[in-house]
Amino acid sequence: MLGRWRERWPDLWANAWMTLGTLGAAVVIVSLLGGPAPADPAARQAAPAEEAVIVLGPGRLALRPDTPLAARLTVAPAAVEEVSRPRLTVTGTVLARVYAGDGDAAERWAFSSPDLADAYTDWVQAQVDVEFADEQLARVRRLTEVQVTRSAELKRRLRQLVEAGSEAAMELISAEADLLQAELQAQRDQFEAENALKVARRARAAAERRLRLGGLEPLALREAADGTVVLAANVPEAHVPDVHAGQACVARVYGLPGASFEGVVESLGAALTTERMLRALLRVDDPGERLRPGMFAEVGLGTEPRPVVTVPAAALLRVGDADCVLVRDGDALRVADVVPGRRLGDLVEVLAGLTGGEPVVARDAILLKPFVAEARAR
Amino acid sequence: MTPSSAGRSVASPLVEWAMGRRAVVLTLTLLVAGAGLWCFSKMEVDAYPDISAQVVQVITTFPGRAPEEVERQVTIPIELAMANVPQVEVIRSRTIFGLSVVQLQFDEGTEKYWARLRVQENLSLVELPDGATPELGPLATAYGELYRYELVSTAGHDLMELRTLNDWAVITRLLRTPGVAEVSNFGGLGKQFSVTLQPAQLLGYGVSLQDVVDAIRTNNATAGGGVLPRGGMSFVIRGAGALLDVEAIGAIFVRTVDGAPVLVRDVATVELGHQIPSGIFSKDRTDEGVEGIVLVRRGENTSVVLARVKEAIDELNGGLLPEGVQVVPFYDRTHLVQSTMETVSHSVLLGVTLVVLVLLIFMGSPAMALLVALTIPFSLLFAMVLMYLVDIPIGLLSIGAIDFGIIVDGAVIMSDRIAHRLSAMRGHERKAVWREVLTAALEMERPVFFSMLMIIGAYLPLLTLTSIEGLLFRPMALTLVFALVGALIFTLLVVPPLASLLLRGGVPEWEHPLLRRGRPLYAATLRHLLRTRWVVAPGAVLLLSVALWRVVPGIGLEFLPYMDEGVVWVRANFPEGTSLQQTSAYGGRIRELVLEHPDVEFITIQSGRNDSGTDPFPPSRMEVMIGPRPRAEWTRVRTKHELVAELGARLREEFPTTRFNFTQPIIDSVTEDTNGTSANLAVELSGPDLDLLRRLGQEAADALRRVPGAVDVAIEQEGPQPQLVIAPDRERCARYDVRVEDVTGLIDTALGGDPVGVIYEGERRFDVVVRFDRRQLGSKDELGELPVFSQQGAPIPLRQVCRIELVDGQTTIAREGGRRRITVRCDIVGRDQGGFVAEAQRRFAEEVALPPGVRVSWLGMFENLERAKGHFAVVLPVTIGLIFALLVLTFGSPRAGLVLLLSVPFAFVGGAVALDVRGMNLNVSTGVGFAALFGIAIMNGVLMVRYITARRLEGLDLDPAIVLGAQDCLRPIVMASLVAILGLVPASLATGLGSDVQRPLATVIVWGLVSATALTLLLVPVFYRIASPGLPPPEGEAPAPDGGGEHAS
Repeated sequence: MLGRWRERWPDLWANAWMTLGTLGAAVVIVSLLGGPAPADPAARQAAPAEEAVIVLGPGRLALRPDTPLAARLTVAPAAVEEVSRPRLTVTGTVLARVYAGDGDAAERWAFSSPDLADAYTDWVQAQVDVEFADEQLARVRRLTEVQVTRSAELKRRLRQLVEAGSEAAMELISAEADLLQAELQAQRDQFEAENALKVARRARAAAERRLRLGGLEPLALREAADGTVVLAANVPEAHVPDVHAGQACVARVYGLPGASFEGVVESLGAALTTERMLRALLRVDDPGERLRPGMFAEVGLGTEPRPVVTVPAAALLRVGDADCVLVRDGDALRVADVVPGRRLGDLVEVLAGLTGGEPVVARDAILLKPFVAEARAR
Repeated sequence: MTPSSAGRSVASPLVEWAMGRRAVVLTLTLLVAGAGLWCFSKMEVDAYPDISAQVVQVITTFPGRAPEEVERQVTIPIELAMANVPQVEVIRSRTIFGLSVVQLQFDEGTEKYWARLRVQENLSLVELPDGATPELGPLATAYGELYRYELVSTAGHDLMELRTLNDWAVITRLLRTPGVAEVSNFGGLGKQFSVTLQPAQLLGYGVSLQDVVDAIRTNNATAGGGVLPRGGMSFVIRGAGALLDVEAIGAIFVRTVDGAPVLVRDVATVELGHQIPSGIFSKDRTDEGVEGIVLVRRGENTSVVLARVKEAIDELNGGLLPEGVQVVPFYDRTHLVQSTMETVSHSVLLGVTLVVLVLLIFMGSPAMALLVALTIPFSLLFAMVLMYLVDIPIGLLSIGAIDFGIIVDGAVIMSDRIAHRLSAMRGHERKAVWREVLTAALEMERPVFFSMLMIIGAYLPLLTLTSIEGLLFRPMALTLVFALVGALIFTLLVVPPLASLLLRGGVPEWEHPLLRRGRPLYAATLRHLLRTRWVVAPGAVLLLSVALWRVVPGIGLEFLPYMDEGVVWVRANFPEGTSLQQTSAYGGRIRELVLEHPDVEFITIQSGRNDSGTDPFPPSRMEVMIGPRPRAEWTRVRTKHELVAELGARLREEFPTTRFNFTQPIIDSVTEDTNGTSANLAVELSGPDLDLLRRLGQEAADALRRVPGAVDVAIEQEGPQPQLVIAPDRERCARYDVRVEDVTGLIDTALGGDPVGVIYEGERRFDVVVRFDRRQLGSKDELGELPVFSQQGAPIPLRQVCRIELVDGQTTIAREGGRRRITVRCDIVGRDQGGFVAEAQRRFAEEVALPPGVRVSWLGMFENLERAKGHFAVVLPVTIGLIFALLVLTFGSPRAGLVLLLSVPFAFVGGAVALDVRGMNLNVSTGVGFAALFGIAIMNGVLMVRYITARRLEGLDLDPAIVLGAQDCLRPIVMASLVAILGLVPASLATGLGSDVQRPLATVIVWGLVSATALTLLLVPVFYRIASPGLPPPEGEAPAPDGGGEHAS
């Protein structure tokens, strides 16, 4: 028996290894087949979804209502707001102000430069000179009139006496000479007085011109009151049509952040400066005496409250050569061309294209830009 | 019965030598193995080889200029200058606002530093306008992005501080790491010293913008004044006039007005500000952050560089950064490498296990199984030595592509023969064992030598592959060739000596019971087939033809299989003109949606572009990286494809007007560099008129959308977007005495933020910029109010001397080969690329009329497919021709060669059926598989003809010789085929990261071998009988075959 085992041992040994190998291979193969199957590459990306936006026709779009895009878009009415934001912002300078105190307000002016102060002083002096010269002329006229009248009366009486036969011929001749003298002197005196008045007036005009060159309007200076501040705003030539007397304005200065001073445009300069600017003279109120002559200011002109149509900045689209917004029109969206103006924070002024109240896509309109372009192109 | 050794090969003297010096041979074997282990420790490990083309980029910043201007003044001159650079395959360029990127793609194999030197030489000759600063891009490729991190603070550091730390602490440290080419920053706020002008103050003081700029420039200087000697000492004199801080800038004297000095702070607000960001980075639920992207230098060992980078990061996190600031990586190539290596190791391990088990099953002897199995480690280590010498990294497509079943085939045949001889021996005298082993070795060395040579020869044409497929599969082919050479050496020179030592006690006579019982059945079947050969042969040919005709047309065609990189990369293009902040806000919603998916671990979003200029993208563009959780943790999806499909559907539903492209980071960037687009298919229209090209592009897109399978069809280049153009009116400028230079200076400096000076804080440098308050620039009108100064110093509003208008201008201008181009891209889903392209081209030809001057090209992955198709159309016939030549050399008979070539179509039909059944497409991977398969399939036939020839040389008639010879080789053929098949079964069924490339290749080989083996066993004898090739003339003194009597019919 041992011999048989010995004979069969190699076969048994080999069969044992064969069986082991077979089992092992079976285990490995079953474990391989039990793993996850590789995916169909066709499942790599999903098929495209149904169109969420449709172009209905020229300038019209429609959104499928049950889409996240439709839910994302916010519609809000184009607002009509009263804004008093300046139409134009320019730079300026505080030229003069009246400080509180006793006495005539006209004597409490302070100016931004010695030249202006001198010009004002000269102007005031010239005013006084004109008045004096005027009065002088009137007096001279009266005096000369009286003198001529007296000489003429004397001459008449002497003539009567001579005609009456008195021997006053010499006195008559003398009286006639006196009359001529008086008339001549009257002319001379009147001429001098008139001349003095003219000179005074010219001096006054020159002083006014100097004031105006310095940016001040003499008329404005006449109406001085406590707290009056005069600013000169430099309006660039291109904006001259945008400014007129009587416009409301507001001023801010670099040295007083957060403070603003309201006023009105009093007058416009007669000529442009050498720097191609038109001086606009403004009168603002500053009872707290915070403004000082010489301060540089930022002046907003045209701050009268006015109605403007505004839309959120995110509602505006630039497509091609035009700006537009999307206006809800029933179930569709209509492309409306607009003319945008200035920014007002997160809003933009609409100068044309909307009248106010139209429901516009206020947010994420940019996501519809490709379709807007297509709608406009049709 | 034994096959006669009819002739010897060149290896036979070596076999004899090896048997005579066993100790030397075994010592050398150990030395080679040791060398292999050493090389293994030094070799780079990477998931995929670097498949990016040799590219040199010229990046030129030209701040504030519209794309049209940049193109005209920068891009075109550079392209012209580069036109004569040698070895350039194509020049492409991309121009956006303020940036030009010209990319030169060199011929494959061009040395990288040589290429850069040529470009630098030509670049030095280009005349560019002032302000345009060109430089070469980093010496890195798209493949080199191997590490991304986020700089995170838990101590309240803001974006500016984080960006400063990233620029001056983290990046500088990482750039000192050997092997790192570049580290890009993305996101954050770049610190600047900002001088914000107050127009009222400027005008009030009569100070112009230029006065302020000149004041800052001239008041920021240091000086060196020589040396002051004093006695025996000397003192270096230096002037310290550099600006140090905000206060110093504010105190700069500008001019005197009415005797009083006007300082900068009198006319401007000086403070710390930030650059206008070009990109915003966000991650998970953090809206804004700071990212760093590390690029490895081309040609460096990525695993070594990655390890160094991690060391540097540890050093930074260990104390070089302020308290609370950490570098937190979120993308690391290590993960891809590890995961891929796991897949490879898993497949290889299982494959090797199956091979060893099969050997055990059929040999019934652990010693025999071990003898054969030792071929595997030796061939692997031998291959590693050669891979190390030619710089091939360990990876999916080198070690991972080896079929160890094929490796051991030669050893199987050799050891089978040895076992057969030893089992027939009477007694186990040592010398007799040695003699029998030698005899067996000499008998089998020629068929083994030529069989292995045929398999090696089948891989050689793959070495001619070029471009992406070449970079992917040449390393694989080389590795396999090295491993096969190693296996051949081991089989011929080591197996016999080892066998003579290990099997001294002899080998019991044993055969697998199935084989033993199957042998008579096989013989009977063969006899029947031989008798009916004139029916069988045509029938087989007909069956083959029908199978090919039914199966092959249904198999799709694509360039590459999907190569999983782990993460998902998404490109999203919002409508042109979308601001950076808006794009980033949409990114927030995208992050929310993606993070809702339970199988997603992280998401990062890059809106806009990085700061280095290497990615010329507009603000409306976004790149998203989605990191899935480890596969084992997935709860909703089973595969990455499903994950991508779900995420894609969700994002497209949320943003239907946004173009999304789902891809992967490496392949996306690499194919974009190589082909100019990463799309599956792109239609390129080139010509001079961009508007015309865009219109044609739209028509092409409409045509493509109607082709079934088209997804995400869109024009790649972003469309026109509005530009605010400030154009000086020369007449008015003359009237107001304003120079155009002053207008452009205002735009550059006060609007664009051109730096006017620099402040150094230690090693760090920051720009000083002068500009108007951005809050005053809310509209065209407000912009028009900005003052530009006349020669007399008078301030003139900009609108008074300029036309300010909104016009449409180009967002991006793409060029190739000196022509502008528009690219219509699309991806293909649910069908093969070849079929799709054919239909798309037909529709295009029908629906789009091209005017003169416009050229069309078809690009993308499709271009690679065409090239690969053309290549394989040559490679496969050459392979077959090579095999045929070797067969004729082996057998000295063209008829024998032709008979054996029949294995090729038999193998092909098996592989084709496999692809059809498994729903796979024909691609480069399967092409490589087929090339390999043909060589392997021939091996069985060679063995069969060998054994039949041996029987005939004994004097048997043809039919009996055929039947007996076929029976003789039944066991080695079954064993060799089974190990070759099972060795790749794990790879053909693998699903882990990296398996997508192996799977098609393995599938083709596995199934092809199944059909080849079956048909070889049944039909090669029949065709041999029909062909009746002549016998080879005897050479030398081959020992007469013996035994085999129990198998005689």
